Amino acid sequence: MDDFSDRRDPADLLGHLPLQILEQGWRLFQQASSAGASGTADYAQALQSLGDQTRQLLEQLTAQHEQWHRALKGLLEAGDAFSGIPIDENATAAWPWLAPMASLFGADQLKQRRSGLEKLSAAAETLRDAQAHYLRLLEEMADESQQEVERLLQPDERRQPLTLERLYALWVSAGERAHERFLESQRYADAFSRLVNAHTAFAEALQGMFEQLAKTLDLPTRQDLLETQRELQELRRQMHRQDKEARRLELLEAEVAELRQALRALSQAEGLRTDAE
Amino acid sequence: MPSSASTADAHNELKAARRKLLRLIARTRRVGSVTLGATPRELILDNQGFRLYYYPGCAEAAAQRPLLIVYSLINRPSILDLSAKRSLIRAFRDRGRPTYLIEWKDPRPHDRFVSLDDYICDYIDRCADVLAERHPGRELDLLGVCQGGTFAVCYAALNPERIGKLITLVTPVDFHAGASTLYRLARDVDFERLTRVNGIISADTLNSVYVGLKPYQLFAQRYVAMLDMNDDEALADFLRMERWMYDSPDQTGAAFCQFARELYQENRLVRGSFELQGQRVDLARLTMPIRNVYAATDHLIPAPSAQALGSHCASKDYDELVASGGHLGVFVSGASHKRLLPALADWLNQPI
Repeated sequence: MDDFSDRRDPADLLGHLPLQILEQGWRLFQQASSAGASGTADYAQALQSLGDQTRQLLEQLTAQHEQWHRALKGLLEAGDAFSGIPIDENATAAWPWLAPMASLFGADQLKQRRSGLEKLSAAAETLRDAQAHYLRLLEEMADESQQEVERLLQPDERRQPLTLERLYALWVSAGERAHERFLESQRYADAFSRLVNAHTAFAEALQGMFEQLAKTLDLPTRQDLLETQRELQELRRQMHRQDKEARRLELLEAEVAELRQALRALSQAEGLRTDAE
Repeated sequence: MPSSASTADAHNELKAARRKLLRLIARTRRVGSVTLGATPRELILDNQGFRLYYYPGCAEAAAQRPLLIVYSLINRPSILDLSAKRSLIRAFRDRGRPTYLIEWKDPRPHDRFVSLDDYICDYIDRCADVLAERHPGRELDLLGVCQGGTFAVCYAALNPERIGKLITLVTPVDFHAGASTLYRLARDVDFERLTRVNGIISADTLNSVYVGLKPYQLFAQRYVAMLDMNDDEALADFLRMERWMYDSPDQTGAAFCQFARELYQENRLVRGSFELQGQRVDLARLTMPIRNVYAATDHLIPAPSAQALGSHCASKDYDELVASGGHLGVFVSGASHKRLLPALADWLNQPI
């Protein structure tokens, strides 16, 4: 009927990540319910396993950052081993085809690239720290949620018997409560903005390096492209203003034409009346 | 509460849940592909940054003031016309209102400098011009939704002579009021730098922030509750909501930066220092009749943030309506469709 329509099979939606998490939880609870040594399902143990797996995931993310950081340091060290070729200006003047080589391997250019790499490396370190800090908070949040569920799971014969459904509802509400407490805290807001700002600084450092490379290769830089886009938007605004003015004039013209016609009709009627008199 | 149960009970429960899941998958296949946008519409204008649609209704509607719906840049307006039974658009159209909707286009990389000035002063204004041509001599009623409500408020404050009545739904006005989580998260982010580096803000990034506000409910509870859906219509609505939630447009860096920095961080709208195309947006110029709807338990736009409109506008016919539930309930809940939306449509139909 319109742009909203989409022919994808809705069953595909079931493949979303949340269901993968559910699947994991399902598997653990299934293990707990089938492998209980004394004929009972140990849900506390299953929750513990789920918590451990979450921690493993967070550790993997941290390890990924460590790898990136090591790779950047390697690049910097490789740069140190090569300090550039001194370029004889007379030589490039006499043989202009040496100029591209000079622009790639000259000491000045290498210095600039090294400075770019240093900025990138510093930004990567800041990002790694911000990420680690944020992940620690997430871990703390997961721990709090788990402790709350465990507290609720303490044996108490007066309460209703535990079912899987009730356990799941407990886990969701305890988790949401712990999450909300963190969201409302200044610590979380600080960690969040620190992470976003660190991501931005890293991307900016990376863009700076490509900017330099584009200049070296005499390609349009990002800055050049942005200037073009800014001008394009300014032109669109001008066009919009002109269109609006043109429409206003059109309306005025139509109004004037209508008034003229009315005036003519009035004059004719007046003329007829004068004739009759 | 015991931390263990008999393995037999747990097994039975898991088996029952698995049976439900299999039935649900079979039913999902039977329901087939879901579509959003239940009400027929006509494309009136296809512009650089938006499309203007008209929802044809009864013949008498042409004699009424037209209603222009302004949606947010976040998510898509398809939630306003989710299905024939849950359609805000239909609620107004069916009560004789000539109903129009602005649908923002997805920004392309070269749109990074399209700002709120463009959205509000050019795009909405262009739609107002078209409606003035199609309904000569009639003022325009504006209905703004969430961030689109802020846009509608700004446009109405800049052009009060063009507006008949104004409706705002879950609209932030005082961005610091009500201990807003979004404000707290945004407070120390360097948006200027962020949008210098990212000219287009990706929808996925924004979605992860919004979903991250209620991860357990949205990632865990929602899908388990799905197992108990026993009728096809409820399942189809669920799938539509699912499609809507994760189908969001990107945003232009310039508009995103203005909204986040000038409105969220600096709260310029209520401080009277927000400017668009060099004109100050003065909320005291809002003298038209206004109905301001907010949700009682809105985790995105706290009630005081929306209610602030009342203390800053100068309308003598201002009223607030509170919808039970959260942010989305205003558009999709049964209660809203039964009482709130018909009441708003009837109010629009009353003479000014």
